[in-house]
Amino acid sequence: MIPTVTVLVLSAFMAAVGSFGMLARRNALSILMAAELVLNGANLAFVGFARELGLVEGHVFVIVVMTVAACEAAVGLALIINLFRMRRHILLDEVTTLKG
Amino acid sequence: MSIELGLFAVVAGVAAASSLMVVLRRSPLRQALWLVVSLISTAVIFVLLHGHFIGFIQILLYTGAIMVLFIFVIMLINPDEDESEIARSGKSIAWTRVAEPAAVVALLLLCIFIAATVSLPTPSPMPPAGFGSTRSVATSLLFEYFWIFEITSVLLLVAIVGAVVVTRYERLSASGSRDATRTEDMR
Repeated sequence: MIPTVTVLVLSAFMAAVGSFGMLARRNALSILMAAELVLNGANLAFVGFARELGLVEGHVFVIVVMTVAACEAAVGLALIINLFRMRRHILLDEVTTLKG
Repeated sequence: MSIELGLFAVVAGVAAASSLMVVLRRSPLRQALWLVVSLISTAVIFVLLHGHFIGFIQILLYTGAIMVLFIFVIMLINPDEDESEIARSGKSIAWTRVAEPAAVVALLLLCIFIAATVSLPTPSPMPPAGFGSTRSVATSLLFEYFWIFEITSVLLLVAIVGAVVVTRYERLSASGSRDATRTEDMR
């Protein structure tokens, strides 16, 4: 029996690494991939708690989170392609048109 | 039981290391390949936690669909200066540069079969029999959480239409107004 605490530690680690990546990178693609890492950490926590409590609801929510991640990736990659068409680069700290 | 714990320790180590590599690597292509490693190792952990259906959906949906989309976009816009230099000079990218993630993925695919066989006989009291199987997840998803399922499908539709509109917008505005393009199409 795998201790649930270990699973939660791994899940927190993945989410933390992912949020570090989201903050530290300039490349839009890298940031989107780091966001996938955060969602993956959340999924791990869902599955760990589902096993701990014996409830299959956790798995249902993992499916919903995966769908949301797919939508996010589709829209995000469309935006990145459009950004690349306009600017010829995808460095997010140089995209400051809306900055006041 | 001890096989289960040992496998979990190894795969958890791989998951942690590959998530670090996703953040630390410079080239987006290699980041994407390490993200594939990270996602597949998470799938192995899902299977070890009696989430058989979720584990295989993770591989199909994440690494089969989302990561392929990511790698397509990386190929389209080629954000890495080194790689475009290589492409201009006519040399192909050395296979050794992507060999490490590929080898780890192969090992993990072996691990998932071991994990499936190890975790199949469910230990009697804690997870009830058939926990995490396709039948139990589907029963919960399609009966108890039916409306969540339906709303998710609407979200997917909206996201797909949105993605198409966002990627097509510039081409439409470049060739004049929308009406102009539409009349051109009709001719």
